[in-house]
Amino acid sequence: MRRVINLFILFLVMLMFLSGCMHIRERVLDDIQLATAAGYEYIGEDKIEVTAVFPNFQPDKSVKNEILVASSIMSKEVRDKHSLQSEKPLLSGKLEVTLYETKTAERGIKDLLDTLERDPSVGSNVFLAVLDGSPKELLSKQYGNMDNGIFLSNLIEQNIESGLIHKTNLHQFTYKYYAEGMDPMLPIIGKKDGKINLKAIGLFDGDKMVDRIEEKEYFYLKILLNRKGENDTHAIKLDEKTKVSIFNIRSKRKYQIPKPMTNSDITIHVKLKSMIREYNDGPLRDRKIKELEKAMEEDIKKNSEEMIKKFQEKGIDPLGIGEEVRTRTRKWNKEKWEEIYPDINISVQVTMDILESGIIE
Amino acid sequence: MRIWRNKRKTDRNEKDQVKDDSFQVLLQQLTESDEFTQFTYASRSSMLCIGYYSSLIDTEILHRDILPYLKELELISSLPNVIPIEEVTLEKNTTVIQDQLLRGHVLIFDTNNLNQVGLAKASVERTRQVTIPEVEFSVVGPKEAFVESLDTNINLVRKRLPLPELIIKELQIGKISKTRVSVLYIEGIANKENVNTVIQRLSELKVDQINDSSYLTQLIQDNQNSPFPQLIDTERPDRIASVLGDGKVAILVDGAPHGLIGPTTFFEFFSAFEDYFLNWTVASFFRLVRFFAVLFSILVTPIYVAVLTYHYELIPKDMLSTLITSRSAIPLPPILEALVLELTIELLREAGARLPTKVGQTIGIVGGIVIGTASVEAGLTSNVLLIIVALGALASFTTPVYQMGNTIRLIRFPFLLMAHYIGLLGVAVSFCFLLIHLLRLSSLGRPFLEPFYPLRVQDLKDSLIRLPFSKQSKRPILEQTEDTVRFNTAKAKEKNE
Repeated sequence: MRRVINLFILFLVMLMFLSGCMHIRERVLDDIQLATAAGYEYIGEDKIEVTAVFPNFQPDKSVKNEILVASSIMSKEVRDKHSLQSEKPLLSGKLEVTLYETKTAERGIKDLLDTLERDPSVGSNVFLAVLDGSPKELLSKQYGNMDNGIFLSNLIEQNIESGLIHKTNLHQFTYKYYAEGMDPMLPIIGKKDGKINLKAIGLFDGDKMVDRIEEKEYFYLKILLNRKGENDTHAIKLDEKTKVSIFNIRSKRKYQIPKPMTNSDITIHVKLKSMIREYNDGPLRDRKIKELEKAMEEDIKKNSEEMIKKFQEKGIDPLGIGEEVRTRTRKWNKEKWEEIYPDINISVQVTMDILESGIIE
Repeated sequence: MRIWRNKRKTDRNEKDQVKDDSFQVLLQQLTESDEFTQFTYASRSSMLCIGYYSSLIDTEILHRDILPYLKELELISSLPNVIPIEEVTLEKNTTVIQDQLLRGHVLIFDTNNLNQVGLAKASVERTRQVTIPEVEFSVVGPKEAFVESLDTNINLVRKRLPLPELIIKELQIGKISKTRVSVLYIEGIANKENVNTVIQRLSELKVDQINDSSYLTQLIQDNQNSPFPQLIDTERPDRIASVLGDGKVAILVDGAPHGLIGPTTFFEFFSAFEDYFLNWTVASFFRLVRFFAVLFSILVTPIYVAVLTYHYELIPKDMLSTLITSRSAIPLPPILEALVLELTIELLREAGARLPTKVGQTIGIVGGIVIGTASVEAGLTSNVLLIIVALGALASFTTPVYQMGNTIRLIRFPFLLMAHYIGLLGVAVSFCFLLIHLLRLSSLGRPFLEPFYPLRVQDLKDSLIRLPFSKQSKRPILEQTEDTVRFNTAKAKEKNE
């Protein structure tokens, strides 16, 4: 009994006096500056300029964005330089979006990603994006009554959820980067009439951006990218006056690779179940719907094959066809695959099924 | 060490008490108290002397049922035949005489013959009426609560269980208070081991006073240093009757309006007896709500402190601005802010509990509204924390057993300190300690965390959830009952069809 009491007293004394020895640095929420977005840009051969934006929450619930710009040879060094300009230490644990200027992205972003991957306080759901324009200029503007980092993150998140662009974040990027038969993609953000918009998708070869696909091709990319897709939208023009827009309820993608790791053909089967969102040429009869299905199938087939051709010419593989082959081969050889990839004949087979045409009689 | 020394002392005191048993000495001793009334009364053949403690007897019985009949008395030995009261005895032993006098008997003796004295019961019970339960109030169901009289309490239980197998073993505990303590169990259902454990622990007690059943809880529970009560304390006779049928043992103490129940499990402390009056779906929902309220109450403030002090990364982006703006003007670090508010709530609770009901309500309003709003406006606490602390306090009051509620309120403070020192790791470590402690606890030797550890699937039917009565055909395994079947489901089904 006495021993227990003594131990208890000892414990209390230790708790009171030894807590100073623990060396756990407190980071009380209101004594730190939270960087929510960062923009990277190479200025010169080895020097990066990092623009960090942090929100300054005003007592009247409004938010003022403030930016810090500094440059150094490595990005964590820059953060220290940022802190030199700031009244509170700048921490990156709440980073939501990182932006890479187009030139920087073309030069390769692996070195810049290293700090994000290494830092345990940065989550793997940080959004990455390529920026057409200067990060300093974009981040210093105010977009609505919210913090810029959260604004950009909401912008990307909203578009992923509504199915307009592919799933992307730090985890996805590094996964695709390290996967042997796959190349990453990132959304490209640009400014148009003072508004930020997602203007294209940047295609990477390793960590270097080599090409981009524009907004009208998103649909082909999306249905081919994932095994199962939904929520995509697409519109085509059949002839001079007939236009139709469809909504993809559910699509399935299947690879047919008869002889993996050879030059033989690869077929990608896509089955789409869709509904008509908009149609401008009179009543829709069953026959008409059949026609539409046919036209759609042709359009998708033609355009996606063209897109894949383009990928093959550039030697990039954002669809992960290489991964599909890899899962079907016993002896995977990256070098050999890269050699044969551009010459493989890849065709797309589309089956379109329009299930519904809306409530108009 | 100290307990052992006390024991030796009490042993010696008891030896001292073996004293001269002459009746004269006793009489001398009795008359020292002014309250002891003594007068002589002439009967037909002899001078009788009558003595009693005036505060303990009913004078109406004395004048109506005793004194008129004494006139006829020839010999003191015929006293039981003369007085029309059922409890009239003849005694020689002075200790018994003393005891009986103190229990409201009237002493009658012949001044010429001191060998044998008569004792007639004329005690008056001053006790309050059976009222509605206040601590364990329920909207539906019986509205009777125990009172301070043991006999009334036993009556309340026995009328619910008219059964010869309901055994009541009475013990006397306390050197000064000589409190009557009854152990209740149903022969043939309750495990003898449980009964013997209780009786042994009670009879080995060496204390001078037992003023309430809560004294006994603290003295006979398995781990007396644990903040967790290991015997349920209830004021509902229906609850006692119900758990006796489960094979539990109940303890009733004279002078205490609460009975004790054992063996129990941790989860029983979160089941109100009202759960049995409601439909099982509703009851299960309420139980789950209560249990999560307790978890919430223990963990929410420590998590707030840990997250704000160390783990800003965990805050969802949409909550950032709310948290930062509410904290922006606060000069105190999160731990002090939280401690100040938690202690304020404790102060309010304590003040409310000590003051009379009417004033207590005012204190609650003044404290809750004035202090809360003012401290936020003064920039001493953030309004987010105010909500969290208030919710945590509210959640801790949902515990149906008062003692357990107090425990829940206490164990948040170590959690808070650990959260401040090492963040969420501290919360996790504290939680582990709490879990280990609960795992080690037992109630009358039965595991306290049953039915989750050891896992007994059959007992889950009445733990965090309550299944319908038709599914409760077997008695819980916890009590290791002698008769494991409550009723035969097969027969019940036949009847339904």
